[in-house]
Amino acid sequence: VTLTTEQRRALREELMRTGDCPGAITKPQLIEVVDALDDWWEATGAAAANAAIPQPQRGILTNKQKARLFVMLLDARYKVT
Amino acid sequence: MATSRMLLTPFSAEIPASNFPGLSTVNARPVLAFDASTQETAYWTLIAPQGLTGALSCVITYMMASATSGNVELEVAVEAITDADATDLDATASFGTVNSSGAITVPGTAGYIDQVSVTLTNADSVAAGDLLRISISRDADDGTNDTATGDMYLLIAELREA
Repeated sequence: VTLTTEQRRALREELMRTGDCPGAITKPQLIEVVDALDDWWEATGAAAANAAIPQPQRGILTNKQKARLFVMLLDARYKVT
Repeated sequence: MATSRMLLTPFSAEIPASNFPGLSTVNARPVLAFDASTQETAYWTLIAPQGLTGALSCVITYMMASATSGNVELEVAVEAITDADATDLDATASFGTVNSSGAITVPGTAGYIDQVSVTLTNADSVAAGDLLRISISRDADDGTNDTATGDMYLLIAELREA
């Protein structure tokens, strides 16, 4: 399931309090980005990321373990935390 | 000709128990950082200057931390208490109706200043010698008039008499 409206809004607020706050778009535009990314993750992204993991690891790892790896990988690439 | 009456600086601000702007510095300049999501408020206590008779406006000098598009809305309220008024300060705040700037387009470059004049139509009938309190807020939860992302930095505000 997708995040709730409140969870999405909280994500936007958290981002705006970081040094990566995007200044060239507005708050309504920023929530549209959050909406689009969460919708994409629900419809396509999660399944695609899961399918990229080879077997038998895919069947052994839990969703939480896979999610943590995904977050760690993005952080290593973009240094976001 | 307008007369400058009082200056409200970040270091002289009074901070409520919750939902207050953070006191910070930007390039060694003291600022109050107003959040983009939560409506935050700061107060200043003054004595209304002698000779005050005209209409007041509050000119707020600010800059944005990162935003280069969108707008902000600022709200200014006045509380004026005259000697012997029946106002129990222990338990009461008696601000007049809020005066709003409406939507103000932020500068196209973060770090550039903008000066917003908010006419204090509702000045709580302030008169010379009154105990005066000014509140300034960013109406961050107004989805229509406050659309800029990130913090708004208040550098200083000036009370002007028309």
